[in-house]
Amino acid sequence: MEQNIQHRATQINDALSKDAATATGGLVEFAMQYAGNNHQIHRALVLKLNYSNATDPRERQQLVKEMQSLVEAISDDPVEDLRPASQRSSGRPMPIALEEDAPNAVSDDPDIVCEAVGLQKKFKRSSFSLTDVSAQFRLGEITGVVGENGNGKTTMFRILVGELAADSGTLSYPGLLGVNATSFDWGTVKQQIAFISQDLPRWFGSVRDNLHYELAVHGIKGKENDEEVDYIIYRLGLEEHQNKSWSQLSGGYKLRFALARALVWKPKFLVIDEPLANLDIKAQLVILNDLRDLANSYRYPLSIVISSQHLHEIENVSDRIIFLRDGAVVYIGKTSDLGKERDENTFEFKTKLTLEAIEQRLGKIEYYNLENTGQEYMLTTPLHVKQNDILKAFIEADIEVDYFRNISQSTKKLFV
Amino acid sequence: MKNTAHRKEEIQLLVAANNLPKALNRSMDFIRDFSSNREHMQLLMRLRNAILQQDSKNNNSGQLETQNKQLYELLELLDVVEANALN
Repeated sequence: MEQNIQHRATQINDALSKDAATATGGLVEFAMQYAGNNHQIHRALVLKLNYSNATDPRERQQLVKEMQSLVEAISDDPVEDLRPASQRSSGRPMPIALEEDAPNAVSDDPDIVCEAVGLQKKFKRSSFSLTDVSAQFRLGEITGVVGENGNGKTTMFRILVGELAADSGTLSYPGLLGVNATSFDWGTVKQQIAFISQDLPRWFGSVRDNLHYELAVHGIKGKENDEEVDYIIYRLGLEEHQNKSWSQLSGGYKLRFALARALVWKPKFLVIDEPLANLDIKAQLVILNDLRDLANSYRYPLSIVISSQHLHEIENVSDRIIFLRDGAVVYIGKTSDLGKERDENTFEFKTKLTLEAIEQRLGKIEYYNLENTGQEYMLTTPLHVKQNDILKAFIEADIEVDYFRNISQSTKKLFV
Repeated sequence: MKNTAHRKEEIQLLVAANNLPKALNRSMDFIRDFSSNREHMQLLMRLRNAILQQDSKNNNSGQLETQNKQLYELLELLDVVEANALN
């Protein structure tokens, strides 16, 4: 094993001499695997960071020498336990992850925050109906709800949070009421649910004052109140805006404040209706990544349900997807299972060429159908025809595209 | 669920990748999840503000040294929180 470490060290030092920018990743990996103490790991991390920031060639040369010295120091005195660091430093059994399809009854599973079975709601004036909606919402999971406007997303959300009564069906909240609860208490349930509607209401006072007030209403006062407000302000990037009022905030920061106000008191169930509508792509990704991290909290996990028209962004962050059409569930399941049982691939793209021109140029590629949906082209192919095959064919056929996406495993297909 | 070592490693790799804002956010999550000691979060907040301030400046060697010192403090704090969480 020592020979392996020495061999690896030599490889890394050679790589650092030839192409340090690429080799620094190997240095970090090596340190995490073999370093005898935490300080050596920290040094590897900081040297990599410093190298990426350095622009002066002499400075870079010096950093390479320091990295190579570190590699030698680690290989001269490696750690005794050669298990990966993530296993090594854990001195207690790993927490047991709950299985996805645990056989327990719903009421026995405290991780199910909310379960809806057969929800129905009919609106007499508009003749719209929500029909037979059933779903489970679990701690630590994000459920994305997608569908065109007017297909029942907001209605479903309002029923889940207790703003609207369903005509029939059942709602239970084992994760909020406790698995042994014998009676239903909306007061207890609603104290643990946060709902952010599409239209963010106006508020008065400063960001910070509102957060203090929100916590106080939930019974948290004094030093704990101050600390929780500090945490959420800094965590959601509101520190430069904490003394601002509603009218002084941009749309993106109004949403961040709404999230802060919802999260500061640690709800277990967070329902958010169309939050991404007014955000640029970067802001969308920041918000969604934050929600992903916060849902997965070890100490304060929560279940998040979020609706959006931004399918790809929502699919990237959601564990489960619900697709609604005309008030009914068309798809419900894990995001990773979307399209798993498909028998064709589907690609969408935009180009200035006409349908006829594309058809002529696509001669050699095997496909089932090519159509213009009005906004883009949709190409369906046999399963064995992959994304790279299509892209290669486009290049060879001189088909210039402004946009291209493989939607074989996306709810986008269900919209067509 | 993830163990503390895995979460700590995530933050370490973010530091190495020079993604300091994300590293600091995840450090806040880490301490919130695995520490009951208020001083840990207070120290992290001080480090966070200092590191982000340094990050936004043009780095001369003096500032680089200061930032490195703060980064080492952050990485050591994570080790302390992890060690306490395991006990």
